[in-house]
Amino acid sequence: MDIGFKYIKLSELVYDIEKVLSDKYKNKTYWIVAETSDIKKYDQRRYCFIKLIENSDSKVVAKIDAVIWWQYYDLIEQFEVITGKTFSKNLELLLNVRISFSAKFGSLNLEIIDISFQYTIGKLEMERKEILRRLVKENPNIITLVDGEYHTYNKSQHLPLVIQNIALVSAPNSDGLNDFIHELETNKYGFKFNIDKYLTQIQGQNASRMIIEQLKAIKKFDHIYDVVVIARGGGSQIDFGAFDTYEVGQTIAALNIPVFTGIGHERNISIADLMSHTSVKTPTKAASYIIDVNANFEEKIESLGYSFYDILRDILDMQNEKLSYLADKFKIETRLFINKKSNELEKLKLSVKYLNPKNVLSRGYAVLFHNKKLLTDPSLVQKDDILKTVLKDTVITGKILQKEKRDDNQFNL
Amino acid sequence: MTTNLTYNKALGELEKIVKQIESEEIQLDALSEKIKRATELIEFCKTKLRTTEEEFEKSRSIIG
Repeated sequence: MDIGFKYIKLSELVYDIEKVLSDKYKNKTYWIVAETSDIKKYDQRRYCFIKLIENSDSKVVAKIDAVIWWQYYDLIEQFEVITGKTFSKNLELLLNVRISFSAKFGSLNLEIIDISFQYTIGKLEMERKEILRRLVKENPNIITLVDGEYHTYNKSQHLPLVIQNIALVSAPNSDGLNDFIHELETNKYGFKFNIDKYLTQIQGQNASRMIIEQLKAIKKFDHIYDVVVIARGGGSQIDFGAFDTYEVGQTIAALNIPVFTGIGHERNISIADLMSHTSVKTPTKAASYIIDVNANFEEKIESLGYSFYDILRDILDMQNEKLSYLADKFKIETRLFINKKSNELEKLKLSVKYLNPKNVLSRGYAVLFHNKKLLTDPSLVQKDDILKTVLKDTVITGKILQKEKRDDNQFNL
Repeated sequence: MTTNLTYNKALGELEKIVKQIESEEIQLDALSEKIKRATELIEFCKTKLRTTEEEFEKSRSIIG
């Protein structure tokens, strides 16, 4: 039908567009940086529709549909495992794409054939570093960086010698929560624990805010709790975002109860880990750590107890020995003392015995009597006086024939 | 016996008495008095030690 100007069929135009695009873009791929804004995943059919945008000054300056077909669908899971981020909207990604135009559906879109995990990891790392830098700069009283180590107020909190009262921050019914409690309750020493659960979302958009709320609730009972344990466990290795936020890091660093983190982070150390008192890989390890602290204390007490008894035993033995030694010595010395005194007495008795005149006479001595008196002064007698000489068993009566001075040499007495 | 006697005081006094007897510093008249005192002191120390031993064993059986 002629209506005065030339026209063509839709297919001719669309196929032409397709040809032009094909000529220019066929077999070409591009690495582009774009932000995800809307994602529709079809896990069963294994494809995913994404709206890619670019913002400038908060305004969208470019927008295009993109798709991940089944051949590349594994990229999504790999991305989540490797970067630890959920594949979701508002992510800035570096994507390898090719341009695809379907004449039949009139759709122009980008086929995503690769995702740079490195780009995302690098970006996360940069964000993380920036948050850490701000934490140190803006909280000089509670966070300092010395020789590459973060020192926080929380780290400076002393662990009690025994840990019994625990505030547990975890997701309801999560593996992390169950692992932690199970490990504590089946400890081989039979230690008892009081565990108060502060349940929270641990993944997703509200996780950060909820964790902070729970930490603040715990702080009100800082006189009760020995430690705070943040547990997140189980299989999922993605979305640790909540543990890498400025606010969670700051709240942990400023808390006056030691915080243990066991958040199952295989890939790297989260900001929460860096700010906390003690960080371990898993909730189970957090529980073992607590059990070890208590076991360590018990062991110390026991060894102290043993050495205390040893010392006491030594003292008692020593005193027992000393006392029996003294008691024995007392007996011996007293015995000796009395013996000696009685010996002295014996000697004296002997002397007395020897001095008795009867005994003297028996040894051959004699005494003289004059006028019935013992003669002790020779001047009282003279020649022709009568003297009685008394010997051991004989009395001899005689007259003095001569009286002269005694010569010592004449008689050997 | 003196009420505020301690184990150490008692032991010290006992040592002194034994030394006096050993070195014959004392008169025989005083000996009897000294024997009496020494016996008291030994008894006192023994009682103290025995009580401590009992406490010790009790503590051991509770804690050990």
